[in-house]
Amino acid sequence: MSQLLQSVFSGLALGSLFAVIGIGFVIIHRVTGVLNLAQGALAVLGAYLMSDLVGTLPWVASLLVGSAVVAVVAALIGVAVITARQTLEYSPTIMTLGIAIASQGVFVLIWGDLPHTYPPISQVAWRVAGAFVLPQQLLLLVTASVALVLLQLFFSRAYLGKALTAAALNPRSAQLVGIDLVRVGTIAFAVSGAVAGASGAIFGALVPVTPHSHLGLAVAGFAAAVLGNLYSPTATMAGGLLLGQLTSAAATYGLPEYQQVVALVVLILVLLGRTLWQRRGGVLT
Amino acid sequence: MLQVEELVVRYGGLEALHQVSLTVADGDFVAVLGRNGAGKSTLVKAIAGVLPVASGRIIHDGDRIDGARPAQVVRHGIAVVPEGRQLFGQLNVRDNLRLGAFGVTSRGLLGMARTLLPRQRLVEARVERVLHLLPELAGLLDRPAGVLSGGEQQMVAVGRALVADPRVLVVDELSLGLAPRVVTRLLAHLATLNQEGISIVLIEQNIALALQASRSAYVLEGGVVRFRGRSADLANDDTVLSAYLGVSEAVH
Repeated sequence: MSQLLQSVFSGLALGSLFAVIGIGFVIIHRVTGVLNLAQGALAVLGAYLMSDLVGTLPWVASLLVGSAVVAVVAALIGVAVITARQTLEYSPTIMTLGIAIASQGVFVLIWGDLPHTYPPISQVAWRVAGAFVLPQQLLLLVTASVALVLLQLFFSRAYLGKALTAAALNPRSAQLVGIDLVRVGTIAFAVSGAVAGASGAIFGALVPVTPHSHLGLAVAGFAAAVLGNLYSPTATMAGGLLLGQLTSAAATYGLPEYQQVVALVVLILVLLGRTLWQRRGGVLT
Repeated sequence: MLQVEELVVRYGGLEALHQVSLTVADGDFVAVLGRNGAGKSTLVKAIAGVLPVASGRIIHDGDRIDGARPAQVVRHGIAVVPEGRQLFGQLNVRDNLRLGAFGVTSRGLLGMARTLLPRQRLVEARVERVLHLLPELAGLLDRPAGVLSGGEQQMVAVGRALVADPRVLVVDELSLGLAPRVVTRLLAHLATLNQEGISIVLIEQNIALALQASRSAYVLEGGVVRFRGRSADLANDDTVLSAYLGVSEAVH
């Protein structure tokens, strides 16, 4: 029982990270039509920056500064990718893949290839029915939830949110009313980068990061986003949390080496299921 | 005054416009006519800043606007109603109208910061003013733009462009796919807007209607201006009408 509960707690944190990365996929895809495969690398960058900052700045300040830096990096990727889109339709996603692969080399160069970790916001652990829950795990869940709520409000209420939606619905028309496609696309990348960086920074205190961590995170985040139809942040959040539970259960019940495979299997099953459903004439909402 | 001077636009390696010149005086109502592929839409896109200009100049109120980005063109007082309406289908009519002012309100850092708010007084005031000009829109505000009839959509598209408070309104293919009765009503609205001082450039396939509504007219063919003059004169010019527009008899 306590083992199951422990798995659920770990899965909650892992799932929150997957969810935030997935929501980043959704936002960028909704606004620009690009799949940002460097989304996992942005989370890893957040963790590495945190490992450097946390020794000099207070914990929360490190988190904020680190996330801001990741947002800037994401914005730069956004500008490059969206500018490239104007010439070649398929190049942007390939570009983000290139950036993701190159980031691995950059991480090794700057931080070496040994796992990095750092202290969490608090060293206490709460005992719940024989299992331990860490403030850090809750912090990650809260961060993901707050990000979700803010983004929902942003897209449904803010004038800029409507403009971002408009840019996705009809880029040509959006341009004509004065919505700058490069600018709104860059905003989408920056926002996704900030939340991915923050979650990565929080997660890095729970599980050490390595230069190779980004791929598994990108795959899991993408799988979560696919569960959200690449459109709904809420469904993506649910998908991420589900994947987190499955991955955590795999690790808890003796299959740690299959952790990475869980997201891929879910991804393939969901895509396959959807195709079969559509073949039978089903309509997806 | 909007002046297009010796404009050359290349499109996929081909020259789509060859030294096209066009003048829209303040308060003018200009029809731009021509068959499919004559270069009409290319002209609209070049003016809107969507297509790059190879050579020539576009001048509005003394400022060069060729090479300007679309957002800058809107801010300069030129709004476009695109061919085929191109509304934001999943957003409701009110949001479609509001977004018409995005370019003019999102200027600078402060302007961008303000776009984080759900409502801005300036935008709402402009939407109200447009509802006053196009009262038919008032009943449609909460409906998704995508479910409206073609005529209603065209009305929203005109309204969205008007929210930018333009001095020049460029309308690309107003009548496309619409019932004649609906087109007549839309043209009446354009005439009213024109009387209120907005210059209108109407790109049209329906030659008879366009010549009736406009004061001056241009005929494009193969990216070249073949006729410029008063609309009334063109309506009587059987040679031009049959040579470039495929009209077999005069439309007067």
